[in-house]
Amino acid sequence: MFASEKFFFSVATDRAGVHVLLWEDKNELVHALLVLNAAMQTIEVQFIAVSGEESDVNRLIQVIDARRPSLLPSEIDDSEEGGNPFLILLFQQASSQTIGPWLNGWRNPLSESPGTLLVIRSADFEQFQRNAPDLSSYVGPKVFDSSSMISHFSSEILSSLSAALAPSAMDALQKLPGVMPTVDELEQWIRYCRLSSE
Amino acid sequence: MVTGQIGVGKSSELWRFVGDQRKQVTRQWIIACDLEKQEHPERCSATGVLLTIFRDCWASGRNRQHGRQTLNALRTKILERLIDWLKGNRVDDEKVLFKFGGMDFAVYLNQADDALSLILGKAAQHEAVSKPSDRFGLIPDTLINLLNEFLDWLSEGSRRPLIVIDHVDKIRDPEAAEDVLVKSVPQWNRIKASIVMTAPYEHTLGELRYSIESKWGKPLMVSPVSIPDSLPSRAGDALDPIFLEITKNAGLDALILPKSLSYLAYYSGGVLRTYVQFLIDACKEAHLSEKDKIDLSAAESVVQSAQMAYKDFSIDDLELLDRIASTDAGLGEASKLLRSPIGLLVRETPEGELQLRVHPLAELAIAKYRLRTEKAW
Repeated sequence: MFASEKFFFSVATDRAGVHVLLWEDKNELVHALLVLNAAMQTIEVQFIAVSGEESDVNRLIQVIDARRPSLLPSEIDDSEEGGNPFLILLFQQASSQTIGPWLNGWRNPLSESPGTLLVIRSADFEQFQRNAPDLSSYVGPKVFDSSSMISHFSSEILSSLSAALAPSAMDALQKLPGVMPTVDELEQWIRYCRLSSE
Repeated sequence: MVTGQIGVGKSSELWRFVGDQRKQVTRQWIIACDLEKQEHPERCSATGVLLTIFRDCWASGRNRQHGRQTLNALRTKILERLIDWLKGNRVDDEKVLFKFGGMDFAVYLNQADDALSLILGKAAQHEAVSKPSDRFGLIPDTLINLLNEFLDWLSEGSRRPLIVIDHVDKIRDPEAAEDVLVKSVPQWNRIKASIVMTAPYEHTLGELRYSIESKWGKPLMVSPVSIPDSLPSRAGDALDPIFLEITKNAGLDALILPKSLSYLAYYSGGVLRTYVQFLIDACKEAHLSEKDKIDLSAAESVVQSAQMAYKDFSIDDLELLDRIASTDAGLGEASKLLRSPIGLLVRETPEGELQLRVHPLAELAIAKYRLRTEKAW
């Protein structure tokens, strides 16, 4: 079984909890996120860059507020799906020292349905674990590495795979170190995936 | 005070205790508080904890009809005092505006039960999240007296209520933890209730240990479950029955091979949260491999994934882990090894002594480190 299959299956079936995606090469990261986007199908996905910048923190606060239970007992929603988007947090380099302790305190709203994916550069992962120990404990073995994912996916994913990501995803990815692959390169990669699966 | 490493089951034990107490014949009102449910505990102040206690006490008794007139009068007094302390701006007879987290928050007093829930909840969140300079400071004595009046009303003159406050151990900021666990003990003693709290494990080991023990007595420690010294050669060898119990309760006892169960139990290090996570992931592995049982290869794959968290241990961490594991001493310096990813497991023996061992998931990293240092010599 391939690491990519395990990753997409785990995220799509758990529909809650916190997963981690490690990356080193930006091309591989973008490929993994494109496939994840295709695998999530009907679930809305929201990308947020995670840095010490106030605008990023304010966006996160809004997301967390929406996932917190109501203060009034009469307003507690018992339905399984609260209509929240699946959250993908892209950690900027060395940001875990400032933002890790803050996120650590919000592990419950982050693991609310449909869950959260933390995208962290491999070299920063140890620092992240130290700075967010309780959030890391919720992650457990759900740590995946984009460098070990080969381009082999189910036919359902292949058929809905597209080279386009939401503008918010592009903005967040632009803030990460490394060169973004062009749309042409991504389309070429998708063609390669389809050919190699035939 | 209850303490223990991340994921060992402190909350589960507390909730079981609450459940058992509620079944007792002795009448005692039990209030379960959760510091993590609504707010961010990382730097929560003692005032934040007290407001959380007040919030959950109110939630626990607000729907009780017996003695309702007394409760309504008490509620009015609490509301008046809170509006005064939190500098609420009365817009008219019904509407009050508060500043929480730098934003206006309107509360309507014509729904008085809900208004009190909202004010206590938002004030607790504010005290947990905002900068120290923006906080409201110490809670006034009159509010503690009103909380005590409310607790008296709840208990109706029988035994004092029991307040169980979970996730206080998530206050990771050392100054905030000292404030809650040491400096504010006189405040906790003034509350007319028995109080159970969780404490961050590292604060019961290092510099704070003696001040905490002098104020609270020796904390009750929840240890990881005992695991064999090495990977069991035969399935079920010396395995604590709780692993099978968890597996059975998950409906997986017929689907997991005994050898896989022993393997996952051993590599969980006896940390039960990790064991449950392993079971879930092993199910996914077996499903994707189109197997009808969780075999050893599925279990091995799960453990390999979990070992990824240990591959970036720094040389300093490995050196410290090696030294502590070899000498059984120096635990006070090792707070970061007790947290994620857990490098060191600490068990309390029935005699009260602490036993240390390297987490099985970290054994590969420490073995490589020892090999490298031996080669260097």
